[in-house]
Amino acid sequence: MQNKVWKLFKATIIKLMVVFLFVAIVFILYKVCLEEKIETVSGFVEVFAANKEFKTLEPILYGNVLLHRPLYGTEYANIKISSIDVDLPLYYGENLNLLKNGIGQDSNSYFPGEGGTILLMGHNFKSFLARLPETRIGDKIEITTSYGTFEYTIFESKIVHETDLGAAPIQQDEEILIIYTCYPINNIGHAYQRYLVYAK
Amino acid sequence: MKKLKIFLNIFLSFILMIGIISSTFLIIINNYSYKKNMLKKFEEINLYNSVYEEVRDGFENYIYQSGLDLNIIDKICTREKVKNDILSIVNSMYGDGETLIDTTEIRANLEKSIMEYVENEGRKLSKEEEENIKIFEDLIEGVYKNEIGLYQKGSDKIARKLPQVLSFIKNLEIIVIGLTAFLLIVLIILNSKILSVAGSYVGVSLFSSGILLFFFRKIIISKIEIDSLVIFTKSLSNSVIIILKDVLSIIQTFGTWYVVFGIFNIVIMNILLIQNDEK
Repeated sequence: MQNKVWKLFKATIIKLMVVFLFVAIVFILYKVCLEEKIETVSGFVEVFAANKEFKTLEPILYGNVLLHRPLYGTEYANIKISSIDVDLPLYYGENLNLLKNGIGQDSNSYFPGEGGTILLMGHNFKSFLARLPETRIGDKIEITTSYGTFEYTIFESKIVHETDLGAAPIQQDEEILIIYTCYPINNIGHAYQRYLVYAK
Repeated sequence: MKKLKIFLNIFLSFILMIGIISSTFLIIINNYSYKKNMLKKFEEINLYNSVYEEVRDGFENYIYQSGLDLNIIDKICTREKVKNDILSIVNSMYGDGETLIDTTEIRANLEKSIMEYVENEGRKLSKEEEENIKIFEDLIEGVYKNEIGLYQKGSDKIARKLPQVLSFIKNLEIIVIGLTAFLLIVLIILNSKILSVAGSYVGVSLFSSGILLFFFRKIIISKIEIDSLVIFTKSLSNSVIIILKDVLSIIQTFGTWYVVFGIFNIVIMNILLIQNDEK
């Protein structure tokens, strides 16, 4: 009986060694012929892949230089216009999907504290900026970020055509906050005009 | 002569292993490329619904700016319409008719809803407002065409090659399975005096195929970050992710069965061989 078991054990081990040999051959073939090609293909696939878990450090303001700038699409601040009861999250980016949730910031403009134009936009429905035309010169706009709170005072407002890009120039000489929404407010269909508020 | 026979058995079982692995992959690919299976998968992963949600999302972006109520969306485009348009795209991919994406229904519904809204509000439209409404309707139509058009563009490209690729895969599957069966017969003929020898080598092929399927699965997982895959739209990305994960799980199932059957075969056939030796 013991002899039988030993024979069975030996025969099975031999067959398993053959299995090991096969796997080793394929592994070597893979290393020699395929690995590089698979790397190329996976590199190509990576073009379509995006790492969703971005981790960034908290923004820090040194003078007027912002280190660790927020990522596009992230909520990085809160904006408050007390005179018209606006208290909304502020997102870095002008994507329409972001504007569903709060106020967006033109990604070409500057961040609060950087000393340039901060260009913000939002929809004109009731809970957002429908009351923006009710603001008056002297009203305050407050932006609270993780690196500080910034207060601006409205000094001008105007209505422009949507294509009038000159009305919101991006400059770096003076910190100016521009916030705009579609106009007229009770419009039906596509709104051609924009209501802009300037503050500093 | 005995050594040559052992070498031949090992060589044949190695080729048999390649045949088993290739057949497995071809069966999986073929299974997914059948129109019926693809549509079943679309139902399972709720693709129609997620595309509808994306279309809705696109509409919302413009409706927010239009002064109209969001519930207008439900009146202008139904889930059924999105599903029918996707089905028409899939049909055209397989050469069963042309893709016909018609947005006149959406435009007509939108216009009707706007007019109802204007009437309810008791407003009179100026010429400028009428013009703005037309542009708004163009934008909404554009959203639908863009969302569904993305699938249409992809399907047009695929449609040109799909029938040839499908027939190539089908033929290849028949050839590979045929060759694998032929190798099995050769192995049996070679060991016709003691069939358990052939059986134990089939076990070796199955066992090594199982281990290699695990190995290939591991390579795919390590080289591609499946969960982060982004292909054009969220719904398309999610569908591809789900299908890829499904394929990997099928590979794992096949691998497990091959390992279990392989080791079982090796042990049982070796027992028979020892009994045969004693006789």
